[in-house]
Amino acid sequence: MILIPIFAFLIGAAIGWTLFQGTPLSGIAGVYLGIGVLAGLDTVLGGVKSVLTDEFRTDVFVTGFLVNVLAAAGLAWFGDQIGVQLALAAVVVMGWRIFNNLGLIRRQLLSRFYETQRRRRVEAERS
Amino acid sequence: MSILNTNSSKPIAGVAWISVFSVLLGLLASLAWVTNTSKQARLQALSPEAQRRLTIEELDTAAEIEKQRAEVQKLRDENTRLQKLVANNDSASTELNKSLQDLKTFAGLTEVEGPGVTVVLTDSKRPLDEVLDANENIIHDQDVLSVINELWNAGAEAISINDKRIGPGSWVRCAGTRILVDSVQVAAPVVIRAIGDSKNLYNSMNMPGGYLDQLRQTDPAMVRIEMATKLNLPPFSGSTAKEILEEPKKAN
Repeated sequence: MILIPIFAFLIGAAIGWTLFQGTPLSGIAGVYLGIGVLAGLDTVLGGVKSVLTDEFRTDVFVTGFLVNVLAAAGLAWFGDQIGVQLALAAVVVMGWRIFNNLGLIRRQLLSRFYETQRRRRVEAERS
Repeated sequence: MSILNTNSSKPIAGVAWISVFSVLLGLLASLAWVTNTSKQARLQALSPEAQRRLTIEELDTAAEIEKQRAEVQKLRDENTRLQKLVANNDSASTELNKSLQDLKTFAGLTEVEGPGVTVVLTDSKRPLDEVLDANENIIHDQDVLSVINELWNAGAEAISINDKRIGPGSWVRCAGTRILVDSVQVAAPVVIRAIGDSKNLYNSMNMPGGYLDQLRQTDPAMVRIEMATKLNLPPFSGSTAKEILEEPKKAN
């Protein structure tokens, strides 16, 4: 089940690749989109984490994804307009959060794995 | 499955939503991907560090360029041979061929030899704690460019850099940490050979206040100048294709 979003990501990439093959966005728009993708990745990982900790809320996730992607790309654009490298701030923060979320997901999965093992052992002892 | 399905249908809804947006994310990522076609257009907008990373791959095609150049050279030699063959037929075409070959020599398309000087530029080996700026220790594209400029100024008739002949429209610039001469990588030590009056060239290169003099003030070991009685320079092997310019039509 945890693999489904990964497959979904690959499917999306395949669709994008076949539809726009050879003509990915060029120029500065591609850079802003890249930062948006980073924000999207952060939100998706955050979503996975909240599913694992039973805190998932659809409204929070959907709005989070859209707002984060647009805000990250928009901030990067705005930064370039005023000559401040805001894109760098977005990259640093998103990168930090991605690693944070990955760490939390890993901990959750590990503790769940040990929990089921423990329960199985208890059931085996009881029977 | 069992890991996620501990309670309620909430996780399933969550995974479904996440998957939907993952598709969108993948689509966006494929659009943002830096490919060969979008690289040129996007290079300007990328950070210098990213530019360097992306151009390194391009530079690895240097071997391919080298092969193509050898091919070009072979064809040009063949062309010269055929022109001479045609010229053997009558005196008019002999005259034409003579002026044609003169022009080719002028344009640097033929192998040439004669006296001249050899200038060798080397990166300084001074320890880093002795210099204010580590950049000063390194031979840059600007150094090579300035030396060529001074050589032409001193009356050089043909110049080559690391056995690459400088032709009309030849260029020197840097890509990341490397020096490019007509798209071909050049690394220090940079050997610049020039044909001309060797004494004149030698003296101009050693002129106090000249460019090489400035370089020597950083570290005398960075510059070596030698007179040569006979140099042999290869022909220019870059492109001579013209796409835009035309001969003006004169009304008779």
